Formats: sequence, structure tokens, C-alpha cells
Amino acid sequence: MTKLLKHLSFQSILLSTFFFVSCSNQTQKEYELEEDEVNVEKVEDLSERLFYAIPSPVEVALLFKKEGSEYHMEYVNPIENTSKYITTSSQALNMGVYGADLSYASVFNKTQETIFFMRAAKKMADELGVTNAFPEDKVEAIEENIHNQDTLLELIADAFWTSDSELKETERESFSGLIIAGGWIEAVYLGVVLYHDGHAKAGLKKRIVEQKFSLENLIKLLSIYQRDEVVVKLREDLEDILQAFNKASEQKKASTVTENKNGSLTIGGGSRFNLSDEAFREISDKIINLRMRIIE
Amino acid sequence: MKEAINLIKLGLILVLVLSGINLNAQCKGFTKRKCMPELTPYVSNGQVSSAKLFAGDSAEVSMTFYSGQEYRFLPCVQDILGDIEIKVMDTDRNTLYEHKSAQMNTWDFNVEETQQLIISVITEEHELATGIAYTGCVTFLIGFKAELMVN
Repeated sequence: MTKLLKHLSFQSILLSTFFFVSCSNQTQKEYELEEDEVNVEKVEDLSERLFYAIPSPVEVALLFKKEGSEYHMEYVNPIENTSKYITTSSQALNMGVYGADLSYASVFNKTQETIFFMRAAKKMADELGVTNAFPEDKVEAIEENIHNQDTLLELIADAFWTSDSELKETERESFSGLIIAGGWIEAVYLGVVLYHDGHAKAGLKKRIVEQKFSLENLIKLLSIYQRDEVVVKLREDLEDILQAFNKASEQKKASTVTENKNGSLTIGGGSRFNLSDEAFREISDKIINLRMRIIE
Repeated sequence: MKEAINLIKLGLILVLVLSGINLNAQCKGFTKRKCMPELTPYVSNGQVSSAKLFAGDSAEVSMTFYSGQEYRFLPCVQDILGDIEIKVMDTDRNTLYEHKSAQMNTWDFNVEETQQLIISVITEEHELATGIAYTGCVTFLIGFKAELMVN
């Protein structure tokens, strides 16, 4: 009798397990798209619950464009360089770099260049094994919407979101950090060279100096990946650049919140920076040097 | 009898573990299908900020918001976690704004001067009648408008 009871208990547990899992699978099918599962990290401590968001290269390109930055092909990373990047670290960094060049071209409605940089970013993604970032249907969608900037920018953002997701789910988060870093460095580099070569208004300097905040977040983001030597070295280089940014004096007003009639919020207060031309030149040189090391 | 109870406990553990695996699969799909469309016409920043939380836990994102730009913040929270509280803080953790709401609300905002802010999402504390705490995923979706504000 006891033996029968044990057998029945075991069978019923197995059946219950399969029942619950299959029900979850049915719910899963309702939501799941063609992408792979994401490996959302189980929260163990506070560090896993605090995220550092970095402005996308599209946002930075738009901010710089408003300050009169122009499009100059000679400053971007030549697509011929893709064949140089044989280590996974250089591929990740330059996927970010080409992502920034892609953003720069898109924001200025440079259709041919957009296609070229999209294919360069795709090549880096494919080399990294991030095959869901730029699948053929997305490449076609980008090409079809090449003249529709709103849709184009959404498609580009989605490609990088998918790439970020896939790297995190396959426990290659450090590559995610490198892509983000490569994108930020290239975006700011473009601003710096355009400013110094007279291809932007004076206001661009202020926008570049404001990147101090994003650089602080980028360094904190990269600090998570202590075991990756390339990330550790990159973080040290970025901390050196931050030292130069810290020469700016900051006038900070307390933040306030106003609720507008349409329900949106306006946050007042904030910071204004003042930085000497000499210190700005120091920042510029460091960013240019770091960027050249990444793409060579 | 004791052995039967142990077998039942083992079964419950198996169910919870396998449900956790399926929760991961639901999280990404849920975010893309249910939440991403709500970001339009704002463009995503391209970064995945997701965490699996127990009910009552919180998660935060630190981000720079640039003057002249318009933003949308959308906390993408699984139904199982219930209602949420949003807090916007400055870098000294002074609370600037807080709001309790049902999920899937969006917050549109802009800043007068560029500043660093921390946005926190706190989930509701509750547990199942069995006393078992459960988990759900929270994704921070942040977008910006491709057209810059005209000053």
C-alpha cells in the first residue's frame, strides 16, 4: 500500500509539473516573438537593481545637430576597416562606433552612408554572433524606410536594443558595455572634431561639456565588468578623460518639478558648466586619441 | 507519509524553478509586444534595463536628461507585481516627484537645464496565500523625441 502511495505521489507530482510548465508555455506563446529568451538576472543585491543609462548615439547626434554640426564623411570610421577587427573586443567596440556613424548619417538624411554603416554594424554584430540584431528582414526594412527618418531611427534603436538583449541573455554583458562605450566615444569624437574644425556653432562646446554626466554613468556601467581586461583598461582611459571634464566649474540649481496642463512634467533647476578653452582642448585630444586607438 | 510530503515539496520546487525559466522568456516578449509600442513616437535609447524583482522590491535607473530634449519614461512591469510607485530623485536622492499608479502609465517630461536624475520603481508588497513570494520582471523603457524642442 505504501509502495503504491509513493508511486502515485511521484506520478502526480510529475503530471502537476508538466501541467504547470505547459500552461506557462501557452502563456509564453502569447507574448513570445521570434527572438530568443532574455536572461534577466535574478536580483541578488542592490547593484543588480541600479541601471546606468547612456544617451544613444542618435540622441547625441541630434543634440549636436541642433548646435549647427554638419555632416562630413571624412570623420567617420571607414567601412573598409571592418576587416581589421578580429578580436571580439574590437568587434564589440566598433559595432558601437559604426552604430554612431550610422546614427550620424541617419540624422543628416545621408541615405547611401546609412546603408553602408548599417551593413558595417551588421557585420560586426554577425562576427559577435549577435544574429538577431540585423536579420535580413530588418536590413530590408531599413532600406525600405531609408527616406522615412522617424521609422528609420526606430529601426536602428530596435536593432541595438535587440543586440543588447541578446548579449545579456547569453551572459556576454561585457560586450554590451563595449558596444555602448564605442558608440558614446564615436558620437562625442564627431562633435569634438566638428567643433575644432569649424563645422559647428559655438554652442556645441556646451553640449560636449555636458557629456560629463554621461561619461560618469558610462564609467559606473563599465565598473560592473571587473573580469574583462579590455573593459578595465577602457574604463581607466575614460576615467582619465573624466579628470579633464572635472576641470569644468559647475553652477547647480536645485531641481524642481512642474506639472503641465497636458500632464507632462517640466523639471527645473539643473547644471551649467564653464570650461576654459585649454581644458576643452585637453578633453578633445584625449577623446580623439582614444577613438583612434579603438578604430586602428 | 513523511516521504510523500517530501516528494510533494520536491514537486513544488520543480514547478517554481521551471516557472522561473519561463518568466525570463515572457519578460523580453512582454516588453517588446506590450510596452515598446507605447514608447512611440519617442525613440528608445537602445539599452536593456531589466530586472527580476520580488513583490515589494525596487529598481532604479540613473540617466542624464538634456535640455531641449523631450523624454518618455515607461516602466514595463509584469501584472503579477501589481501596482507600482514611481519616484524621481536628484543625485542627492531628494525626491522631486512621486506617483502611485497602475502599470503601463507613461511619463512625458523635459528639463530646463541638463541634469542627472534617478528614477525609481517600487513594486507593491504582497504575497500568495501560501506565503510564497513570487517574482516578476521590470524593464525601464526610456525614449526621446527625434525632433528637438524649439526654444
